[in-house]
Order: sequence, then C-alpha cells, then structure tokens
Amino acid sequence: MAASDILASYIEEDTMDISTNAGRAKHLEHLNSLLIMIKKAQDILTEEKERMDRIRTDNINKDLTRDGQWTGNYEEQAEDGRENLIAQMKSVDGDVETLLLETEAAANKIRQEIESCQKAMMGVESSEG
Amino acid sequence: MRADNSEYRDMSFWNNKENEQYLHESVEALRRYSDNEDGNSAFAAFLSSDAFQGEEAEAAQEAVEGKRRELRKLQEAARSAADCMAEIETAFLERMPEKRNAVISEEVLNELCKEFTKDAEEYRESADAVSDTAEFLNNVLSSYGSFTVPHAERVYDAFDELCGWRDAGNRCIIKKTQKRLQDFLEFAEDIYKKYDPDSLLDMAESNEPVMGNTSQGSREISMAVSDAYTDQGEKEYTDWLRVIFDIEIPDESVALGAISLE
Repeated sequence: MAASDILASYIEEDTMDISTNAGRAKHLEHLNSLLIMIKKAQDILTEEKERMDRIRTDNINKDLTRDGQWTGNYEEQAEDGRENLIAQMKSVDGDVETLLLETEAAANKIRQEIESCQKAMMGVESSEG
Repeated sequence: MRADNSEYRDMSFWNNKENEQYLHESVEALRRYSDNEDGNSAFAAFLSSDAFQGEEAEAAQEAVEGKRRELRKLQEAARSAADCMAEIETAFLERMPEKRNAVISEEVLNELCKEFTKDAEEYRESADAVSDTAEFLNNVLSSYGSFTVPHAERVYDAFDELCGWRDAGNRCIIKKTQKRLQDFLEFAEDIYKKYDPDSLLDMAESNEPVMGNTSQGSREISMAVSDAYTDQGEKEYTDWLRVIFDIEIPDESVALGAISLE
C-alpha cells in the first residue's frame, strides 16, 4: 500500500461549515485527524529516513577493495563514484530533514486553528448561555 | 574459448604486480634454458669425437643424437613459451588503462555489483515512500504550508554509474572494468593460442623412439639402449651426459600454470 493511501485513511471529512457549533465540532474532528495523519507521516518519514541513513552508512563503510582484491585505476574511479553517491544521499537526507520540519510547522498551524476553533465554540456557548 | 564460459569468467583474477614478476622471472629462466648452448656443445663434441669407436660407440652416438634432438625441441618449446609470456607481460598495461599494481577480481566485482544493486533498490523503495508522502502533504495540507519533495534521481544516477542497476550497462565503472578484464583475458588467451606452448612441450616430451642408421642397417634404438651403454661406457661419455642433465630446466608445469590465466 502506498504511503499516500495509508495517510489518506486517517483523514476525517470536513463539513467546511463553521457557522454553527455542530459544524465547528465536525471541523475540529477533521483538524484532529490531520494532526494524527501528520504524526503518521512523520513516522513514515522517520522510518524511511533511518533506512536511507543505514544504506548510506553501509556505503560509506563498504570496502571496495575487499582486502586488496580490487585495486588500480578502476577501483579509484569507483571510490570517486562512491563519494558522489554519498554526497547525493546527504543532499536527499537534508531535504527529508527539511520536510520533517515543514510537517511540524504545519502541525503547529493546525494546533493554532484547533485552539481558535475551540475558543470560537466556547464563545458561542457562553453567549448562548 | 574459456573466457566464454561463465564459470571461468566468475573466477577471472589478475594481480598485475605478482603476475608481472612471475612472468618476468619465468621468461628469464626460460630464456636462460633456451639460449644455453652447453648441452648442444657437449653433444656435438661427443658426436664428433673419435675417442670412442666401435659398434657400441655407434649405437651410443645414435642415442646421443636423439638426445640432442630432444634438447633442441625442448629449447624451442621454452623459447616459444618465453615469447608467449613476454607478450602477455606487456599486454596488460598496453590494453588496460591500469596501474602497474592493479588487482582485478571478477568475483569481487560481481559481489560489489550485487551489493550496490540491492542497496539501490532498497534506497529507491524508501525514497519513493518519502516523495509520495511529501506530494500527498502538498495536496492535502496546501493551506498549512508547502512541503519539500526530496528527489533521489541523482542518487539513482550515482548507483547506476557504479553498478549499472538501471540502464548504464557497460558504461558503469564495475561493468566497464569487467568487460576490460574479459577483453584482456581473451586477448591474452589468443596470444597463448598463437604460441601454443602446451603442444610444443607435449611434442618435445613425447618419448618417440629415435630412428638410427647403423652398420647393422636401419633399426630402432630406444633411450633404454643408450642407458644400457652409459652403464658400461667410458668416463668421457658419462661426463658429457652429466653436463647435459645438469642443465637447469624450469618447472614447465608451473610456468604453464601462470600463462593459463587461471
């Protein structure tokens, strides 16, 4: 199952109607489901990042010469190729770290919206009371 | 050709420094042997000598003539093996853009290729999951921000350059090395076939009876006959033989093992 399909299954439908408390309650459910979905997305990203880090570490530590069974110009070319591979992997890793920070920023915005929505609901309740 | 056999290909190995040294030493030993005229001179001296006469001497001379022919064949075979090894010795650096101390093992190259390919596939699974997640977040949470989509295309290219796991084929470093090694080994094998030192040595070593013409008419005189005469021959004759058999003969089986490229 694709990651996007897994994440989609966490999202509750939104009424897009926040003029009533019932609508706000439904919207809160949606926002909370987004937070859960983001947490799941972070788990997926962290897990895949760890796997990619492990592959990178394995390739950093790989002995291309196999105790001197491969040496010479071609092996030196392969060393350069490996260095390029590691550099490209680090670049991707940097992007994944940025993505994780971006998910956290989005989660914070959603939390703020939840707070506003809750305040709005409480305000309506007090004015009704 | 053995290089066409996949099992043989998997075992291909070339340690240039060690092979160069071994081939160089073998060539020197074979040249010393093939250029050594002591044996031929001793034979010629015996054959032209009048000091040893009579029916026994005649038979002994026939046997010695046979020995002389055998020595010449061996020297020719050694000369051919030396030329063959000398050509292979220089072929590696001429045909491979490699360092003098290069070591190439087909087994190691295959192992590395498999490892890189496995790593590349695993990495792609993870990278695909990451980019799928990022794209999904961009679709669903666009009002809460934008999300970086990591692209691993350059990682795939780097893997491809190393092991050709996608489409680099013989352009990738490992496969290029394998192809160069195979091409070189096939070239070396062609050199070996051109000189065919195996056949020369087989022919030289075959114990073919020596045909001789004596006063008793044409008859076969085997080496065993000459051995019988040496037992009763004069000291001069045994000395000549000693000179002949004291000649240093390189271990042909070892030398041929080196140029069989196994």
